[in-house]
Amino acid sequence: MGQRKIFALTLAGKRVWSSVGDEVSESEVSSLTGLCTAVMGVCEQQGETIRSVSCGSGRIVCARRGELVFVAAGSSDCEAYLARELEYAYEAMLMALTSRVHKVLASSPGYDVKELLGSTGTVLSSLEAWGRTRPEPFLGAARAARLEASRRAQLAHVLASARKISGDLLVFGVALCGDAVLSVLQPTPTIERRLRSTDLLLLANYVRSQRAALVAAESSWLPLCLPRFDERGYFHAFVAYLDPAVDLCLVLVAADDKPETFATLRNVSKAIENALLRDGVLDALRDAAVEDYRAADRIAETAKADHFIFSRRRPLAAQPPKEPRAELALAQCLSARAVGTHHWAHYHALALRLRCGSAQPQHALATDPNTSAHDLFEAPLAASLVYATSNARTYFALTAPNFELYATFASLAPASDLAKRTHHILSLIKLEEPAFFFDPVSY
Amino acid sequence: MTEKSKVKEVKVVLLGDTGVGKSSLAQRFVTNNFKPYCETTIGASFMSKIVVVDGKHLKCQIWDTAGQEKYHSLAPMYYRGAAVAILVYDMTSAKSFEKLKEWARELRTQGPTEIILAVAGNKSDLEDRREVDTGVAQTYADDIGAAFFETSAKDDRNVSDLFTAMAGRVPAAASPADGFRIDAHVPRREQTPKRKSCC
Repeated sequence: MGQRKIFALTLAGKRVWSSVGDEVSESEVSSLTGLCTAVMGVCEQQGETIRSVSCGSGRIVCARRGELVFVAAGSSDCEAYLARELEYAYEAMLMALTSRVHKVLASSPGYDVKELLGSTGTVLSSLEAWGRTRPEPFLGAARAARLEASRRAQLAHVLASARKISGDLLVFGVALCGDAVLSVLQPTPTIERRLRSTDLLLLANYVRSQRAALVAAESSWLPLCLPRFDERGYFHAFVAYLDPAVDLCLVLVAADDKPETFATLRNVSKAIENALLRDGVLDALRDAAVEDYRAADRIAETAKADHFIFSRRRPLAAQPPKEPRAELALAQCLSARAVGTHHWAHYHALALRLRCGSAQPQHALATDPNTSAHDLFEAPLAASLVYATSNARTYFALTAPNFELYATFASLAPASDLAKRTHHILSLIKLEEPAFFFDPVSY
Repeated sequence: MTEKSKVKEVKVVLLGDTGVGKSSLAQRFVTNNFKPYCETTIGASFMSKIVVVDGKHLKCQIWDTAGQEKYHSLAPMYYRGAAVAILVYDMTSAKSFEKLKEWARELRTQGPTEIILAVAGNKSDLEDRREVDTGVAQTYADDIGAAFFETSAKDDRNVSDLFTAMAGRVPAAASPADGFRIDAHVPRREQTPKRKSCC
């Protein structure tokens, strides 16, 4: 079975997209997809849902979403990981086509969705490649770019002002450096209607996947759906690179697609750029883009870790129990630069153990008074950790209500030592929390 | 009056089948670059360039639209406000020339009455693969009252001439002022963290 492959098909068995492009012939794919659609059909007749099929070391994971079927096959990835990849593939497809694709297929089952997807197939391919090499999809969190708090406040103020001068046309505003997020403008989130970190992740991927075309143009006007926000319709995004050399990019999202709206957002974009230039913020953003992973790398080095990723579900300073607004925070992550991709499989295995409840909630980190997590987590009893060793490395995972931390240490150190190093990572992150993470601007 | 305020705007829209080279033409004109592999346009791209025609500065505002069928419904938004429509086909593809005729028909029925048309047969560097004769395309262009050019974005053949000639034919409108200003200085009240009540 070898390398992981992902396919999207219609219920009629027509291939819509695959992670291997057209390298695999239709006849080779048809045996796999035929098996899946047949087994899924049989299960559905029994009122059951099939999730995966194991064969030797290989695994095939299936998911039906409306009129579409997604299939992942691989020999080195676990079911949960493949299932998550399928979910992302589906959401990336919704981003390009909206849920109206189901309506089209329901009325014409033989419709060529591959043709409909057209060039936006690159959005799915880019996301699939991202998931293989980077932690953000694994964590379901957008990577935040490090920026000094005062500069971040200036950028947030500029975005808030942009909303005002746009005459309420601007719905979302996102400043990106590469695929890391500098700041976000959003409507005041509610439990029912809010920008999710997955949508932000998908948006960053969408821009990344079209980078060459976007950089070549002065600005672009893209239809896109934010599936978790509303999968039924398109927004239109004005995209302009403020500095292509360091991948500084501005995405201004409006609810309508009129060229007049584009013209307004173009003027808004110019006003934003001028404001950032006048006050030296643009230079700070360029520095942030150049800095990229370095700050996180320094933390890893200081704590003698090979690598770490940290995902913040909500501000560390927030009172965790049940403050409703904290629940609406966007998940963001901070990552040291990964050398190779061996971390992901181990982190994923640890994440599964944590979710399956085989963690140790009262382990050294939570109980040792010298390394107590209490001041960092404010919920020590809820913190859980697991670790595993492999090839003279220790992989470590710790979750609490407001964060997840995964780290790799190049030694078989005792648990207490790991606890100290992990605590060190956490304390360094907390020390610079306002620089490492952004608070979305809500209006 | 400053030199800048004298610049007039000319809105140009590029229409045609997917893969005919609309984006390559726009990029060749604006940046004088050519990429052999160009990603297919999603939605629409916007570019601008100032040209001098008969001593007058004209700002070409170019809408490069996606050629894929699924974006067809968006096209009217771009050509309605345009002064010039450049209909592009790939001279190595007879199918793309037929698609161009569909665009011309649509513009005639739904486009602005005063819109100025050009027909551009792109990829003229691929002469050995030609499927659309120059004479046939020229005659068709004459029939619809369009200017005709055979271009090559790759070899930079006739690209600048195409845009400049079309822009020169337009009675240009004055460029609107941008008009927005934002200050990045954060007001003091926003800098002060909100105090939370202890109870």
